[in-house]
Amino acid sequence: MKLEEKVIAIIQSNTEEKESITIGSDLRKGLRLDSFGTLMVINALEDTFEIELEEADFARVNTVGDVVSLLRDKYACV
Amino acid sequence: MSFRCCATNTLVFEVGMQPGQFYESLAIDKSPLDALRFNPYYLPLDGLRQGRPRVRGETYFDLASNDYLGLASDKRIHEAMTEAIREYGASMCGTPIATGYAPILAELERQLARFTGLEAAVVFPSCYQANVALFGCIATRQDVIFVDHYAHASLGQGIRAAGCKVKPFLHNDLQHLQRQLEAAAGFRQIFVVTESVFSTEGSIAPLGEIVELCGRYNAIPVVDDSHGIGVLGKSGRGILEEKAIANYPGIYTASLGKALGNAGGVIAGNNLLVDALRYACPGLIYSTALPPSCAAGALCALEIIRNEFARLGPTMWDNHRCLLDSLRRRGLDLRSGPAPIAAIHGGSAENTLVLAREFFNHRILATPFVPPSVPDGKGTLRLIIGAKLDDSGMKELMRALDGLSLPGFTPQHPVSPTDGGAPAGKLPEPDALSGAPRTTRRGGTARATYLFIANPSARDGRARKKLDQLRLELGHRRVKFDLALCEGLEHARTLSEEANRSGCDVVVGVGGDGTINRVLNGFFDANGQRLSSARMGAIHVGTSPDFCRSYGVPLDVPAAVEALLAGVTRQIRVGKVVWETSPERPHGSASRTAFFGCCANIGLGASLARLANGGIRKYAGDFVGTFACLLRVLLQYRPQTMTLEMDGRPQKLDKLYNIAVGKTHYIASGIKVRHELQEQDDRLYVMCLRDLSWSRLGHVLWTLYRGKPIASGRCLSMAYAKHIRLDAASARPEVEFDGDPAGWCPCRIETAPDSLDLIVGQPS
Repeated sequence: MKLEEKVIAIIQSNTEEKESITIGSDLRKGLRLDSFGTLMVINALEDTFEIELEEADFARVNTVGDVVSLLRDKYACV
Repeated sequence: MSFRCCATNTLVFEVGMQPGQFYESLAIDKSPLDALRFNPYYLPLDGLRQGRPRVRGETYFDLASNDYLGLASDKRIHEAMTEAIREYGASMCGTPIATGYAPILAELERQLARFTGLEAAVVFPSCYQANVALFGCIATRQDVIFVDHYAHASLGQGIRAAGCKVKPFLHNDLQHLQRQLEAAAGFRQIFVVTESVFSTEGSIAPLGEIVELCGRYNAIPVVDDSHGIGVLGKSGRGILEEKAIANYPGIYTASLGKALGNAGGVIAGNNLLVDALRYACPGLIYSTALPPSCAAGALCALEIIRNEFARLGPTMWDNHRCLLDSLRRRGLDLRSGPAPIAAIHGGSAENTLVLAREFFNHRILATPFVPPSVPDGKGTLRLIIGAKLDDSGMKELMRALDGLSLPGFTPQHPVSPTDGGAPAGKLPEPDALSGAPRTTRRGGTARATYLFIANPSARDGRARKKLDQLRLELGHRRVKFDLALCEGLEHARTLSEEANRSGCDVVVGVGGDGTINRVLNGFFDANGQRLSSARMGAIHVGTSPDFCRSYGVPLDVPAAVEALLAGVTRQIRVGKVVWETSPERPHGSASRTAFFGCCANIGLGASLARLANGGIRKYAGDFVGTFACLLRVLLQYRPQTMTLEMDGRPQKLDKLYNIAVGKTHYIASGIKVRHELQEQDDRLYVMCLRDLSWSRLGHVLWTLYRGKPIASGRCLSMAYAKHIRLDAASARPEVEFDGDPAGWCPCRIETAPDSLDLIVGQPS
């Protein structure tokens, strides 16, 4: 499974939003992630990729694509 | 628009900020409120007139406060508070550990512990303070807290401040919680935190299941029952009574400022916890104690609830249903859960405020929730009617609601396809409802929307005649309704689920036990939580009448319609069963969940149901046909050895013919079970039939068909349990419920967490 697909699957299973998620989905305006919602996604990403994400990093990302880039560029996830 | 403080909402910062710049950075953007010329926040209320608040000299309907039972304006409470002021003064001006612990505060703590059924309680100046203070006192950095995504801000604040690992789980999602609990390793202590009633939309936590999960993973449950105490449970004692949780092993918090009509908060649990808080919780021991007058008021409120909840509770629910009916008729998008809270989806913050302004302009105070209290785009207008208004007050409120002008707000979702009554996808227009009967017992102008889900092939097609009779009866009474003909039992479930999700008031199953069961299943999600606050009705036109008999629904169509329109409603507890869809698959590989109103059978019950449903009853009738099938199945059935686990205690039973698990007296075509269960009991009876011989058969049949008490013996035995598991080592016994075979063991059976509101023929 590609990293993009993995991230979409993780976000899908950790949000109450039932709308389809794409690489361009906006985390806050589209998926309406609040602080606990964001934390839920961060926890799931950390558990899956066995990394420790910095919340400040995550505060700068807006879309699902940004999350993928962050994981790939800073945390060397594949 | 979002009321966030700029200083905490920016990633850009400057080194060496000037004080002026700092204060500028705190500015709240209130320009949208200015543009609307309406600010519902910090509204100055001038005081009460006949129990209703006044704003700038005008009297309003209070649907904004959390005064569920109307106790805040109860004169007995005022007198108790005044007396306490005379006795103790306005405040003890000291912390509870020093000079603030008045005897009346100690008495309140004793009474709160008694009321909630817990060992001990300690009172805080507010529940917010209690929640924030709690976690810093009990949790360490080595702990993990799993918290419901929608938990109250005070819980979130307290949990974050504790410095431990925080793992939110999806709202009320037990599977998501369990997955996370399974993966939790290396922590000193696990806590699972939730609310009983989520106050923005009124959903209720599946606390029984959460407590069970906690037991399995050595976790401590923590529940905030602020919107449950004085509201939920048959005597208003809150979530623990509502979910029949005895010996609650966790931590309980609640506000005394909602249904108890006062101020303050409480933490309750076991003696060790409460003692630790008394001596080591900074949020308690460094804060001025709750004034004695508030303790006296809360004590008086507890006494009133003990003595008068039988009157106040039904008034609150009647008013709530009446309010929901009226809001639905206005075409508003309701997102209300099963608690007595009406939640209107407002969408954006601006839209939500416009909605609140429209209510305000019609003298109705409501609470708008906008970000960050709710996620972006999920603005909600909340209304709590409670028991505050009497009949004339409700009529006045209904007139005020009728005057609302709401263009542009989301219309209702369509209901299911129909072949009668109002056109599909449309709710009856308000002016088309004149002459329609009331379904609420109060409130004057309230009307309900009905969807009848009928199975025309019930009773081998002979139900069609009765359907014509039903249409005639409804027509005579000038009832506007939708009638959906299902194309099979599963279709009935789908239609019922759609109706529940689309805001229908009353969903009626029309058929035999099979159809009615599938309509019942459409009321619940997979966890056993209600999808809406809709009520269920039943009209028997099929073969088996056990459901209707069990709950006192008349069996002839005119009387059943009469009872339905009278609207007397009972909350019934239904069974939840999880079973396997195939006998071939490995255990646990393909499980399904469903709900039953009468009884589940494991063993020969499924064979009997299959044979009886095969058509013999068309000629022989329900009783004789089923009895003949029973004798034939008994001859052919090979008894098995099964493992029966009741509340965690397994036992192996050999020569087993059948295990019946249920709650009702009538379980199958003439067979009656005498048991000791009460209506709100969350246990189920477990009746085992084993080691049967021809010499014993006569006694067994006589006992079951006459509904005689079951004296437990080798052949027929009776027990009671909350959680039942069944499995067999070799062959996979079949599972049947409410008259239809479903699948195979292993299976788990328990009472569903949420009750069903069923319209019945006679009061409970």
